[in-house]
Amino acid sequence: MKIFVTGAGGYIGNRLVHTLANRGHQVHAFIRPTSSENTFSHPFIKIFKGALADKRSIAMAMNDCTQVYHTASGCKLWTKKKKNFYEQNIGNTINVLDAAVECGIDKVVYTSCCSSWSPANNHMHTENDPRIASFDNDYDLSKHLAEKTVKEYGKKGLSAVIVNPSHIYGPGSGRKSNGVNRFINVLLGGIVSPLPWHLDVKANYTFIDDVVNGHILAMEKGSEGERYILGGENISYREIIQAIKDNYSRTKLFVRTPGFVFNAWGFTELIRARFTEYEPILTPALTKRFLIAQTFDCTKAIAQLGYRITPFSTGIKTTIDYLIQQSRKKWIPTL
Amino acid sequence: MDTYTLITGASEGIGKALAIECAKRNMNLLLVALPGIELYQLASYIRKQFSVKVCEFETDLTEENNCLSLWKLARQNNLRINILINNAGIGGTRMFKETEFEIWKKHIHLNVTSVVYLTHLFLPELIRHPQSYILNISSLAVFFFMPGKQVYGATKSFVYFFSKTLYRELKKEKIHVSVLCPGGISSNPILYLMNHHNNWITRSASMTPEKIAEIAIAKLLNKKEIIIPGKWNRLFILFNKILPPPFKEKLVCGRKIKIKQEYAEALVKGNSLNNKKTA
Repeated sequence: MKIFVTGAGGYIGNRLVHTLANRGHQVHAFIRPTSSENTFSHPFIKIFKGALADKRSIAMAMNDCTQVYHTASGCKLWTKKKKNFYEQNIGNTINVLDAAVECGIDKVVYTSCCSSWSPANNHMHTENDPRIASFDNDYDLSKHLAEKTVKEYGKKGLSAVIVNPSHIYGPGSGRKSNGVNRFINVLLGGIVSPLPWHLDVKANYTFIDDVVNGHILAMEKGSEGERYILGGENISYREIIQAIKDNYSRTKLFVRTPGFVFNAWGFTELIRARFTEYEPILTPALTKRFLIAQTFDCTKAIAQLGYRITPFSTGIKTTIDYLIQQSRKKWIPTL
Repeated sequence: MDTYTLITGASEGIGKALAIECAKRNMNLLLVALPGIELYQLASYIRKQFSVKVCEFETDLTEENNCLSLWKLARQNNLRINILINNAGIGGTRMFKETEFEIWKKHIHLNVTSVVYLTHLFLPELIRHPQSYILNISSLAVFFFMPGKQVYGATKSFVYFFSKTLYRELKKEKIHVSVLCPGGISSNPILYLMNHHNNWITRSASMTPEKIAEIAIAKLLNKKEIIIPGKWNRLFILFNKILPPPFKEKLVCGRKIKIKQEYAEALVKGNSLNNKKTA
């Protein structure tokens, strides 16, 4: 079977492309013209370089495919121009869906995120919960609107399923968008690491392989127009630190830091980014996300798709091993 | 006997935030909104999260008959309303000559007629309680004569006048009437984009529905007559009082609201206008 995947150079996309190819599918991997081809290592993967803003190049790459995974997105909490979020997340999604209609694609899986739900203490979100807090950043809003667009295409007859992965961790390309891996890296490296003040704040962490499997399961078994949370265990910061201490013995000082310090840091980063070409590593929006609990309940995916969760203890071990190996290879400084 | 709070237009924006704020304060709710899935999702979320009773009713309040059927529903189910929140309303910035009369008619029916009719219908019920409250939603636009807000501003001025008069009239009946005048709100995607892709003052002055709802309910229960949430908005009112008229005129008319709205609408559709002024 021929399968078209956007964002194949990305964290989820790259893993997905290789998993599909290993299962014997012909994969059309769509990457940016600037992306490197070195990350692909399988004869079944055919690389197409192009921009998602260009409908014709998408349609050309999608030709004779039967399934589409749209994992590409402007996955950052900050860009120099805010409108980029809307162009990348909504505009490009429309282009991909239009091409899918044109090429007579059987089914589309759209990778959303968990920002359709607002952070909430002591509540496990399910797929049917509404968003309670209003939108406070452009990334969340653009993804929410993109999801709406996908549903509209679904009503018009395109078979589409939406998946919502939560905070993803695990081996994979170390881009800046991957916040959890970055956070674990901070905790691993150096002598002193800052920690949030409230260590009992819980969030949902999902292992990259589960997410990739979840995508494939959603393609196989997902009902049209439905969305599925691809989550993992709900874990507090305390448990993450414990897991790191268990797997990585090294004397380290963890300093609990009040939220305003992170905020002040975020603001300085923003100011620096505004006047230079620098890309901030911490923004107030990211801080806010880190400091509020966001827990999810993925029983729907488990019941309807047969989705399986890798235990956090196993996943974190693999991740830590991977990150240490990476840093040895390249001497990446933390952050 | 349980008492209920009636909130119209509860599926989105301030109404949704008010519903959650009331649920946090253990008030039972009767939520009214246009037909759609959002209202049911909200109601089931509140039932799960808070220990309050929630009834939902989907209807279009621009029709007078629907206001009446809402009242009948409340009576049949013996829902004793002691707080009435007339929140449902239509807004927006539209130029008068470019807009069809049907839209203005809708503005007037929802923002004016339904408010008066619902208040009139539920008044006998409200009087039965030892203490009742009515909260009407006006707008900060009633203090500034901005282009593009002609009919909207006029309907909200109606609500403002209506509420302030009613406050004096119903004092003896133990019914407190408050009027809420919020300024810029990020209550839906378009408004969020218009506010947040604007100049610094507009960005800072815009508030989230949650914050407004929190202030509104607290001040309503404290029996405040006019509720203006936010420091910036109160500052605008102060400027309005002290600045010389020609200067004010320039400030009010100088806003390029229309471009912003077009820009926001384009962003929602995923394509950005290449307008240097707004990009």
